[in-house]
Amino acid sequence: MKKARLLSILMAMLLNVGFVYAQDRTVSGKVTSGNDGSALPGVSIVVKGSTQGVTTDVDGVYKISVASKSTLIFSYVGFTPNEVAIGNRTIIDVQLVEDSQVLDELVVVGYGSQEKRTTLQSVSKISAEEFETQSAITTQDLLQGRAAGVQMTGSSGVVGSRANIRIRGVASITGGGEPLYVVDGVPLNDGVYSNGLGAVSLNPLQDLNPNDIENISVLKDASAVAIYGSRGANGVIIITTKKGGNTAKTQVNFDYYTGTMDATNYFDMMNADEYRNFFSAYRKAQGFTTRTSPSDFDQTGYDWPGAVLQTGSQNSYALSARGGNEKTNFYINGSYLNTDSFTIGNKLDRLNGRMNLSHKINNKARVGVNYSLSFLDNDRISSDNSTGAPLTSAYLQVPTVVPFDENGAYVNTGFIQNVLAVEALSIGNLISRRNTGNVYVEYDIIPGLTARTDFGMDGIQTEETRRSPEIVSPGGTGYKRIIQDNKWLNTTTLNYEKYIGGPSGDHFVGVLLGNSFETSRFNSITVAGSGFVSDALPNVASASTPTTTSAEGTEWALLSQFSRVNYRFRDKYLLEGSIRRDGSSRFGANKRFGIFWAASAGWVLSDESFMKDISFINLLKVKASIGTAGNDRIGNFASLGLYGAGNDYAGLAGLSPSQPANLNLSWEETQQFDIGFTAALFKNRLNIDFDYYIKETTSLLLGVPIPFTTGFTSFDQNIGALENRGIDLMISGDVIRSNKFTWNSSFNMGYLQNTITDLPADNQDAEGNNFVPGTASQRAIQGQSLNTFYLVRYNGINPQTGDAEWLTKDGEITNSPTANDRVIVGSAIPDFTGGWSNTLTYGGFQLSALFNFVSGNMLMRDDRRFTENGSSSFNNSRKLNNYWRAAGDVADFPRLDSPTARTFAQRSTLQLEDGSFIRLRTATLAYNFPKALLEKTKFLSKARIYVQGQNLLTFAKTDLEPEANGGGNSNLDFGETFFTPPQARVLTAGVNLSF
Amino acid sequence: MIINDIKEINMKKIIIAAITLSMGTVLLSSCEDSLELQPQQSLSTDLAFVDKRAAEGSLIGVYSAVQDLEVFGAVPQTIADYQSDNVEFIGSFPTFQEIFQYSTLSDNGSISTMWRDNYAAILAANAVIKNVPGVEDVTFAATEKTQFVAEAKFLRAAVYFQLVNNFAQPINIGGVSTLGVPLVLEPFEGVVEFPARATVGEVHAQIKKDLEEAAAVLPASYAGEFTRGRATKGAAQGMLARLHLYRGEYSEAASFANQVISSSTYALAPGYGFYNGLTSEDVFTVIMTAIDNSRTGSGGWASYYSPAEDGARGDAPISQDLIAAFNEEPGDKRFDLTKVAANGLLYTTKFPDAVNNTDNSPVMRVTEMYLTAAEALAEQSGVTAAAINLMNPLRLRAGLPAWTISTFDSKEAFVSAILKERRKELAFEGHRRMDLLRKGLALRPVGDAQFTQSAAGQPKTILPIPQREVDLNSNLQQNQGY
Repeated sequence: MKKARLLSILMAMLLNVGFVYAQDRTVSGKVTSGNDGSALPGVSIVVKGSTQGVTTDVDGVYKISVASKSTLIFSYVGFTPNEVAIGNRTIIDVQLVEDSQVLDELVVVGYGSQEKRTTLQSVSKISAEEFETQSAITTQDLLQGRAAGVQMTGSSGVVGSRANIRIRGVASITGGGEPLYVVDGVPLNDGVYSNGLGAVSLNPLQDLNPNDIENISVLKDASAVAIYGSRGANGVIIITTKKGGNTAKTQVNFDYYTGTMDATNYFDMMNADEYRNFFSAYRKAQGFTTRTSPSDFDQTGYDWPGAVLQTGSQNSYALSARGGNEKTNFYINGSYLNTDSFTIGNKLDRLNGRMNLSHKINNKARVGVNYSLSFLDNDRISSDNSTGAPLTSAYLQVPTVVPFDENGAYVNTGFIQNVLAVEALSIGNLISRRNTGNVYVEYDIIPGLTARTDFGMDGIQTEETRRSPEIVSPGGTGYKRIIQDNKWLNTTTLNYEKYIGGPSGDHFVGVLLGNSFETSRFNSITVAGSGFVSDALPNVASASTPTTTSAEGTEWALLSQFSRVNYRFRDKYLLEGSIRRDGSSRFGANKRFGIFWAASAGWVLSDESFMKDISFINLLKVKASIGTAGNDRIGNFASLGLYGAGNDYAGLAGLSPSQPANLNLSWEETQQFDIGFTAALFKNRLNIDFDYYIKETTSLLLGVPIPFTTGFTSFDQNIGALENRGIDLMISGDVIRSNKFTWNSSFNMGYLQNTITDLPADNQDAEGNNFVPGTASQRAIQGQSLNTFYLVRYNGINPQTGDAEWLTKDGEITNSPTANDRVIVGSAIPDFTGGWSNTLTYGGFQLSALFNFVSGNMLMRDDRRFTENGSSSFNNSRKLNNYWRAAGDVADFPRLDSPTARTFAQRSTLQLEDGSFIRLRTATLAYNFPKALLEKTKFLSKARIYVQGQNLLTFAKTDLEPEANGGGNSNLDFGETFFTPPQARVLTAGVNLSF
Repeated sequence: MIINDIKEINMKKIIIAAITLSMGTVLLSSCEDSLELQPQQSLSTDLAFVDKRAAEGSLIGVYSAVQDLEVFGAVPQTIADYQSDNVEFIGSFPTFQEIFQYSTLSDNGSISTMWRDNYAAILAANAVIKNVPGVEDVTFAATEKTQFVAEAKFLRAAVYFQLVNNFAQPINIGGVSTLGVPLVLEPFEGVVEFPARATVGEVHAQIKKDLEEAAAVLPASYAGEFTRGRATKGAAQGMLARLHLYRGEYSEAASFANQVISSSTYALAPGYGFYNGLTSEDVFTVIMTAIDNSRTGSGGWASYYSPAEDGARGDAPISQDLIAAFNEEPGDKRFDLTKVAANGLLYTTKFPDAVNNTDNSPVMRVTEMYLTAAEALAEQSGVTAAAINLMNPLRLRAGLPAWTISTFDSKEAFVSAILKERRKELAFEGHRRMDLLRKGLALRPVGDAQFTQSAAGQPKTILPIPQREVDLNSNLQQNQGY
């Protein structure tokens, strides 16, 4: 046998040699772009029917030795391949036409990739070209307005704040609602790694570097997410980083931008004179006997908001190299970002490094590594509900209070802290280090059958330091917490893909089999102390009283097997099924394993003979899918009855009941049905993706609120159901496509209707509707949306009497409403979200603009309960100067002696605003230097300069920031703000150079 | 030959494929065990009473729950002070602001948290009362078990007493049949109950039962500071004295107060240096240390009663009315327990530590027993030497002249004078509101904007049942006016 094999190899070699001898001709030429005539470097030229090939050099020139009668295939990413029979020619210049259609594009899906033309999964893909000039601090920013059905709400203008991302609505009430993030096959840890400081904790993914991203796939329907099983219900976001390639020449890129940051919006508060006049008049009218004249107040004044707002800056540098040869490809990137926000004391420095490497050991075996490391130093501020928050306190601080004494030293301003002193003297920062990556081995067992195993890790360590100075807390306080969340995982897959009966066979079969184990261990160490000799001593070691010395840990593990099977007949009739079995440590032993599945079918109508004649249709595919996925975001030990340790008393160790047991706690399951079509029309100039879906979540993992008389707040149960129903639409096209001028436009929109369909009946409002309480303003009500505002209706100030009026439940006017007068007044969930992007190119100039919009949602501005509150001891909005004075006045505040002036600020629809807006998210003007000019430099292959503005224009129903969301990522607290810092207006200028 | 070749290759491939898959399977079986994880900072419920150590930990957990900010950690006491006349409110917290202005709504967050944390303490006590007798541990003596249960009963009674005083009309206004609070006496074991409100009479009866059972078995003292910081016979008797006083049962009140006074464990302190001292002045104190205290991020006693420059909120300066009360008899040493803050207002110095919140919660000190005994005697027999003799040590300690039989010309004048002493003596220690209401008096002085609304029996002199609770539990009846 061995001899026979040797012989056959020798034969093959001889044949090869023979073949080589038959190469009797050298063909050369230049490959240019059919669009602008520029030379195309890196074009792959292969002799048809062989593996022999070359690539073009930087000038687009190639040279290849071939046999006569050969045919050359010219191919280049983004261009239509061109087959040329060489005939008798020795010089063959070729023009490649840019392939504006995306149909042969690959889309990244769970554990693989599929051709866009034949995929049955609903996946939105966002490529680097769309965002490469956007000065994004966090990766989630890139999703805004770019993918249908993905609602990204910028939660706060604080640098590194947590974004709220919902894919096709919220699929859970008290479980987590965030999608799963997967970077190059590694699902990321996204726990809570920082303190809230008055708001919600920081974005756990702020370490990711947007500059490294090649594309982002958003997996939406059941056929796409079922393969992620118990973590798929909220959708999956797969991030693929840049890779090297078989290029003739290593491409070195340098990207730089610099810019400024300002607040898009802020409150208009009273100055000192207005404050004295208003409050003395108010107090006098209300019958107070002190401070009834402006002269009774301090005669000083200070502009606090002006002192904490500033024009910030942003600088980003990235230097990368990508390239390789037939055996080894690499991508290496190093980048540095620094941001100084529009609020004093809020800065971010981030260093990222990445190396992606792949290597062919031989024709069958490949190894590779994707690895990134980051270092991040976030100089934090408090925000929202904190008296040490620069913005909150600057608004609320009485304007007669000045921050300095006569000697220029900081003074203690009392409960509302002297935020200038806080920012100058205190420490509040978070240092984060993250290592994420994997190594893999791939082996082609037989043609079409590939085995792959990878070992991945995601290790994050954060170190949070806080130090309050003497002026805030006598003696000072110090705090340090170090968190480590270390994950490792192993994924092994077998993947088989084959057209039965050769490459053009009728039957295609694809089978994916895999198993995976993933575990993560979270540990934290916290120390705190008080009593320092000096503010110059930063560490807890110098504190006289150690108040906290704590070390905690927790862990989880997930064990899974999964499979996906594809069958296609003539690439026209498409079938796919997937299944996953997950075992999770988070569930009780009886309910530990769950099975999730999906099935889908599609039909490429445009390949049918009866459609062939309709020439303007290039592709028409209809598809439908149904399946399930789960949600495991419920904490690590939700099913156990627990006594929490550390409930100590006077130095004795104690235990207190901390969680009631529910050993039957099981998976929350989301079933999704999706039907849609994909069309490419008019020579692929117009592309449409349409999906209609019904997403039903049953057995909700509900922390059912129970009476406090049980000793607990909530009891985790599988109870209730909700539904998200909607439409995702994406239309993109080349409006104008000529040699000189192109206009590409893309519109996406998600329509969403969220309805709570079932809730436990032991929790009913006065109308008999079942509900789950959220905040004081919103609740999840059966038959309504998850974020339904339930408030007393404000009816305005009676122009005749000057009294504020509200409505009772029955719609009668009242001056003293009660909680029983609350009614349903709207939802925080938008009906429509989406974006519209445009790119206009003329010669080297490129103008692009991205708008995003949100419509049909309400926004609760809890802060207005403070800024329009005459009885408060804080500063107030300038609006209150327009209080009712005489009959007929249309006023913003009641008659000063009205009893309703005291209750005006009570929670009602007065503070509820329409949250709809359209925002010019980014606008960019870029100039690409002509190739001819660059060639003269001998080293530059690409040069672009650009200017960009973010959030330049906003059209909103509210006067204030429409995009704030103080609840961060909470499902039951959405669309409310309490002095949440607004989004930044960013102006940048940048350059991209390739060498 | 070629066919053989392919066969051989396939054999090899198949082996590789099999190895790949079996690798996964090996990994799989070894990992099934990895799904068996346990929490690290908590114990499952069955371990919380597995032996004496755990049972004691569970009892200490009840004390820890009582230590909570919203139980005996300052908030209920501060809320009561905002309703009455010893402090002003100058802060920002809307929940306290509306209480101070008598515009309290049923969705008040502070009141909701107070209700929650008081019941959490009660339920923790219920678990101890139910589970400790069944703990199988040879080292766990029957007397110790009885003592642990009695401690939990004392704590449960103290918390129920606080709840019924704050959420129900006093018995002198509404009688025994007025609505009290839900009586929950069993631990939560998975079945959600929706209890209705028991009457004030029923709640009082339960408190009395728990306290009497506790007083019968609790030790008089413990080692070290815990004589002041854990439930004792004296503490249970003192709480019974308070209960009977509030019910107008003066003979029982005097009797229990005298039992405490005559105990050798307690003695009137010579001066006012006893605050936070855990001295024989203290009958029951919730101890706060820098490491374990009421702080839940929002503070302790000093947060409200101390001025802002001490690191506090500075929300509760002393009222003009209390200052005037002290000025009626100048030279009162108890008025020296104050200081003028940077904002020019006067604050108490009873709770100085706003940084670490180590100010103990002064639930009961022996001085209260003197005042209770004197008042009870006066109510029964008018101006008597016995009652005067109970009051004079307090008068002299304060640097004020002693009283004689002839100081007062009527029982009413005497009782009123005792109440004035009680106000000045126990200011900011959680007594003032109930001392006014149980006497049918308005919480605010004549001339105050809220005088009418603060009359005893008016709706907003008691707190609303939290709206959340009413929403969740249809058996719960809301208080009138909310």
